[in-house]
Amino acid sequence: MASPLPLIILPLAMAPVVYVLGRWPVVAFLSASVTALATAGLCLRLPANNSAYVLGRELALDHSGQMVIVFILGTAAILFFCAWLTSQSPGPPRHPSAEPGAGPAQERRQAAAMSWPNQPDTSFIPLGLAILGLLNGVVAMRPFLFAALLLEIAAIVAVFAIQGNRPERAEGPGPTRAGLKYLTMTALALPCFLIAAWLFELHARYPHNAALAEPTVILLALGFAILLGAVPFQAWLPAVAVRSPLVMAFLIGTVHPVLFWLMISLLQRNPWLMVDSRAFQLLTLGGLVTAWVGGLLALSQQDFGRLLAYAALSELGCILVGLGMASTAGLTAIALQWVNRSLALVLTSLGVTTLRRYTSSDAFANLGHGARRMPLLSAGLLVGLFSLAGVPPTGGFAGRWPIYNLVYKANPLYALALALSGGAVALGCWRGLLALFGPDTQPEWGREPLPPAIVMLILTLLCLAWGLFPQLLSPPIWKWVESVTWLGFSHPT
Amino acid sequence: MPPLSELIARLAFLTTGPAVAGLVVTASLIILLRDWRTSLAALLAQYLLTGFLLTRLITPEVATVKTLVGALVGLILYLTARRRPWDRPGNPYEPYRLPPTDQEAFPVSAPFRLLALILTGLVVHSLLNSYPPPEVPRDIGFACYWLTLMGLLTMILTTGPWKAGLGLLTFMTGFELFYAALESSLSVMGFLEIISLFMALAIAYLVMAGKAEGREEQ
Repeated sequence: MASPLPLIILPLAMAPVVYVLGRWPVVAFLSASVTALATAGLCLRLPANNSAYVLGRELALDHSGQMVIVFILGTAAILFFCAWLTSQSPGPPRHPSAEPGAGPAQERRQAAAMSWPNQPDTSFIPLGLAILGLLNGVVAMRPFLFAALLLEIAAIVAVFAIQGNRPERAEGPGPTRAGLKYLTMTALALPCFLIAAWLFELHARYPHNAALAEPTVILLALGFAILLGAVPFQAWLPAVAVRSPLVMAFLIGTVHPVLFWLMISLLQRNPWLMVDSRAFQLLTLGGLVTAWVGGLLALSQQDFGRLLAYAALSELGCILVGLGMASTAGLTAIALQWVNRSLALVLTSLGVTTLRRYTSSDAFANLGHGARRMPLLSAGLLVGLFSLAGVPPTGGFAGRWPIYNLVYKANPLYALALALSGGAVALGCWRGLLALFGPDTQPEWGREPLPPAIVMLILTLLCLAWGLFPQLLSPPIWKWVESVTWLGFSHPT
Repeated sequence: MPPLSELIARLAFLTTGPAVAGLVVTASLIILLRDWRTSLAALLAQYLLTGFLLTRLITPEVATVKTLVGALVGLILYLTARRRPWDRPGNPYEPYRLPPTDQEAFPVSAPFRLLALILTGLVVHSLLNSYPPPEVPRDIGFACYWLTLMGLLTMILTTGPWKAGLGLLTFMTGFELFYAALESSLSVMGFLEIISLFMALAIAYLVMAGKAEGREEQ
């Protein structure tokens, strides 16, 4: 069956199976990863633009859609592995010098270290599979109306993944706050998309009505801003990062590429939207504000979880500005940025989760001497964060630099603002670095767990390699950009 | 038992002013009262009254299905609320109040909520005159604006999953009332009902997670 339908059905059908297998984490993780990779393989073998009809609605995949699906499935497979890895790594070991009867304070700290959020939650693996199936549906579904409805269902399923199967901790972000914020925000985006879809239908009936472009662009901008978590709709990002960094990385690493692809394909299928140049102005201005707010908030954070959230926010702003430039070079840069961003997010979220699992918290104040005791973990964490800030020679810089160049040509002040936002995130990371080299606050902790440290080392090297040799990623990215015809493709220099 | 069309014809007087007035009351009750049973009853009444209004926009059969889905949402929330230990065992005559985890976003007394409600009413009136919703009669347009803004206000005033969930469902009810006039496709309606049910399940899950938290604290 050469239609995109199996790409939706396979992950959705495997989700309950993986849930049942959850009792045996290694089997569950393996099943989920194999499902994600098998679906990606299936997607690559599908002939482009082969249609199927479900309830009279067309399902079809073009080349760019196929690449997006393969990308998100690959990211998800790595994240499933990370979730399993962190659930397997040992809890906080006692330092040899720490005697069993060392005192109630130390015992309390040990107990706290084993409680939420230090106990990783792998319940998001089956839910993640269900989300992947729905996201594949979003990419394959031709009518935007149904893509928006599937996106909303995926967002609701994500609420269960965010909450996990653990209760909230009293000193956490507030009871059920993260899941609730995500649910309410995504629900607010749905009306924007559905009314925009109705305006698309109106335009099909009255193609010469130019007045339809403005409300459609505004509604789409609002809907995408809410779902992406751009400023001022970013409230769910830090809450989810504090709750579960891996789930945040999953949501950003899978949902965001689909949203960007949807945005680009909408512009491609509806060129009348570009008559109103406001679409790109909104993207640029919204991106600048998002990058700035993300940078400033990252600068003032006191723990790695929130720092990760705001660094990702600043990065999102940079990508939005790149898209707002409406050029082939901009699109190439943001495609490169997606890859680097996903890698940096996986690396950093794995680092924060392991840190929480291994020590009592991810707060700067509690991590003194961490760099000496956990060198690979600390290095990976910082390289990931510096990559999100766009600091050379990390992969993030390779993506940010072309965007800075493009924006500089349009408006040097905007380029300066973007660079400063990246600098603010880098300063926030610097504070984290100083904390890791600070005086010893937890002498009872031993050395870092080896399996996550080795994985982090590999990811760190990859992050640096993509920063030094970004041309390695160029062929698939150019092939993807070629399929976006509304820009008129030419190989960027 | 009379057929559905006859039943609706008999209750035709409810599909105009009384239904809109009823929606004003139910949304206000959700925002003003902290007793979960009254709030849930108001939400159920809201679904019923919206069903009556919908018979003017879509076929009665589809409107009935939407009302039935509303009843299912109510059932899910009722079963969740019953399992939540917020019914204080002390004085049985005391109202069933919200648990500590369902507090407001900031301290808001009943007069404050009433004032916010009146101000929102003024905003609804102003919006209705400036931007009347397309494709719907004026009274239904008023109901759409009222429900969506009251839902938003409820979500703003609280941080707990129960009350915010009721606000979210109120918001969605208002939007669906408007959207029914724009899109009559059965598959779209079906998707929207699935989303409503999923939302109710997500709210129920969050409410129960709050319960687990309470138990752990004890």
